[in-house]
Amino acid sequence: MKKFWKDLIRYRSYIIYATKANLKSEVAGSYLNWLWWILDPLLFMLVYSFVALIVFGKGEPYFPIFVFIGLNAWNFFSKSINKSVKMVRSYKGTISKVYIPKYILIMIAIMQNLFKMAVAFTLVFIMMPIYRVPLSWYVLNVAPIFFTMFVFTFGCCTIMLHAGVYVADLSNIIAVVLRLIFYMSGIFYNITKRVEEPYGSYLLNFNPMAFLINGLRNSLLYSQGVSYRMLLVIFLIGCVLAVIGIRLIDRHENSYVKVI
Amino acid sequence: MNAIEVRDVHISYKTIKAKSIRQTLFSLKKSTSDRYEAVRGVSFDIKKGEIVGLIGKNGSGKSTLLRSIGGIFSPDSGVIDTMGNNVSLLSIGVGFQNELTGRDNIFLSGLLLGFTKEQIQEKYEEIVRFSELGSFINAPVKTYSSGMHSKLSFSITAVLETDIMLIDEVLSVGDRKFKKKSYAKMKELISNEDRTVMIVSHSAETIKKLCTRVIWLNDGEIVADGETGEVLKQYNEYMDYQEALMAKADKAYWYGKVKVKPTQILLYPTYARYCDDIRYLCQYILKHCPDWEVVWVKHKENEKIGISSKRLKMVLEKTPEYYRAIYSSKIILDDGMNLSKEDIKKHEEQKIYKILKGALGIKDINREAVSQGKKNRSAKLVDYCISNSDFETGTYQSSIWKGKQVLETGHPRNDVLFATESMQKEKAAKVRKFYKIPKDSRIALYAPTCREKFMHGKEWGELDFQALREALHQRFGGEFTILARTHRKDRGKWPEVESSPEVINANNYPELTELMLSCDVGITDYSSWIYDFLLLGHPGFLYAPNAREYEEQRGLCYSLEDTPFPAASNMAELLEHIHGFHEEVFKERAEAFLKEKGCKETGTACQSLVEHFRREME
Repeated sequence: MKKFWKDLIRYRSYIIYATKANLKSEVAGSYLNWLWWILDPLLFMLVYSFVALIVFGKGEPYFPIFVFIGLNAWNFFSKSINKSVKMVRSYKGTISKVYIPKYILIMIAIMQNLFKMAVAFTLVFIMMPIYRVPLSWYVLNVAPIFFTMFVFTFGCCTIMLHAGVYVADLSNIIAVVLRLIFYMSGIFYNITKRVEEPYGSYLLNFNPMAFLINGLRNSLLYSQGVSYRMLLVIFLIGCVLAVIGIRLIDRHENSYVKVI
Repeated sequence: MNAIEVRDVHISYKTIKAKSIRQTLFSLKKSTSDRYEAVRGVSFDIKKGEIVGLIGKNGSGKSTLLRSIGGIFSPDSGVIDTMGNNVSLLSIGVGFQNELTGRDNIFLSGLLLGFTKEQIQEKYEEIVRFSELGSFINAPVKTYSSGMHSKLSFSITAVLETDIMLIDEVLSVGDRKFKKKSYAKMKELISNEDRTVMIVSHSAETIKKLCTRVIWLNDGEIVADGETGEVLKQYNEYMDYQEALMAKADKAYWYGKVKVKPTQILLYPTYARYCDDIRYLCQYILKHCPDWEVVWVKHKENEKIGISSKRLKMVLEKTPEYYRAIYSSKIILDDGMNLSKEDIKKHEEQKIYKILKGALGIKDINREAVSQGKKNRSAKLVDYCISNSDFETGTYQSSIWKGKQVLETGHPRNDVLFATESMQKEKAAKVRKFYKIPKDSRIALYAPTCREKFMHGKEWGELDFQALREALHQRFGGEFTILARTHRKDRGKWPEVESSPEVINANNYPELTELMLSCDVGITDYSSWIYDFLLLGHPGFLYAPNAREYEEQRGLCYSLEDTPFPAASNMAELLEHIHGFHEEVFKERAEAFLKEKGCKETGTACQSLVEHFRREME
């Protein structure tokens, strides 16, 4: 773990430069540039609003923002995981030429997605006054929730990166699993209201993403608090995953090149 | 001070390739982990500033070792210590991120090599300039050609200058210009005494020029480690041995496995250039026999023979294709004992033709330094001997080819000596153009035969070219340019004639016959070309200062006095002979000589030979 902190400092300028470069290259070829980072969740918000409101006729207060928050948080998590699974393979060129701690690569991916999420969230803060959402001090809970989400995502990513090297078609499985978790995280419906007990509580208590997204909405839209105890548990789970993942990577990263 | 220390390093690849989920779930056996040990207990120290070459055949662990030193993967056991130096690895297939621009990749690579952003910014311009990428630097790397890729990667490593450079087979990137440039840059980098360099290359030439020390790896173990020349010598010996083994296997394998193609003809020259018989015959066949398949044996991979035709198939000596071509050719034409270099079996229906270069020459071919095994094999293989005279036929009959059928068709190389004047003039003009000889200048060719082993290192009695020119001028008029040409086997063993406008070193001209056509006067010692030259009727002289010794050691078929040419044993005599040259007398002697030797040359050798081939094919 000591090596991890040292590397983080040593490679910080690399992380920053690579994040910037990747973000730049992502938008380089398209007409609407970075607007896509907002447009993409926005359009999906319309799709899900259509499904929920017109098809099923079951909305929530401030429904568009409700969906938008869920989608953004989910995108951050799922894109980071997806990328991590294929990470070593996609960086093959670089890592077979020069040593780089592999969790640095995860850091880059997460920073990249974090930035995109931040851009998209500006829209949330624009939409809130339009929809006349009452503000409360609970908004401040957003910070610990995001931080927990960051740590938890990082932890998952380290494990996925390691597993992705040795199991060639893991990314296919992960796509399915992520889709399942997507539906279980209440991105476009309210778990508490729509899922019957005791399953609703199960989903919220055993699916960290569902809990975190729910927490974000409660803090921003519905002036409700979050369970700090639960938040702490998820944070600790994230830490444990990260420690295990970093150890795994540390021990095996020198044979990654031999495998891919 | 050491820059790299490697102690008892083992590196193995487990052949657990990445598995699919199906394999993970359903493979009954717990992975039968095949361990492949790429590097087995290697130890060495490299001092700061040393330039070390790493050689070995494919799969000997060179690149694996290099990558371990570069920190890309750690050894399974043993220690690699690079003493805190920053290390860069340069290898083919570049470590770029394809989506990003060249500019971004420069910065990212630099940061990974341990430089700060400011340091990279400082060198940025230089890198771009060296890489010759221009505005492409702002385009994503995925749009680059492979050459641009390699150029950029080389430029980054070369300009950023790390303490230790590990170079894996990249000194051959880009076009010729860039290659030269990168090579020069490499030399410059290496000349810095603080920089430690390890080079992996298959090119012995590169290693020889750049490295002071060489480590030879074989199957993951060090075979030799020491001074460049010494190790390279051992390595080359080993590679030759391996190649010979491989060739032997191919030779045995293909015999009987390929069918003889009734219209395939194989041409086997001794030298790629300087093989006028085969060259002229080849051109004749390509022109007149459209349905024949023609195969030419080359001696080196990138040999140029000066004939370009899609119909001409080239095969490299001692490759599988070579053996297949030999076993499948109906007709084989050999202008030496090339086919007999090794023991080759032939099929019953294959016919092998042999051409002597000596022809009417004075040298005794039976005393040529050829191994007995080669002679025996040649005697067994050859079906037809090609001759141009009663004399040459007699030569065959008294040689190892005794009893073979002799075809008195003449030599293909001499056809052009009987060709129309305009054609001859065209060829002569080619020579003048090649050497930029003015139209009004006359030309004399001086081309002695090869100095046999016994003559090497001895005084040869050099010609006084200026005196020679003066004498030729006085006797024949006009200003003479002299073309001086050494025998193929003597190149590099004899101080080369330095070219001046009056005396030109003509070693690099491929066709001796064309040189003859451009000349007014010929001079040699014992070389047989002068007897081909005789067919043109131009004056010729012999300058043979060591005649007695040569006759004793090497043997002559007839005495120098029996030739139509005035023979001189020193410079004064040669000049005297030139001054006293009598055209009528020479012509008489020449005619008598050709008649006595029973010369059969009529300029139709190609035609007659091709007719003979055709009959054999049917």
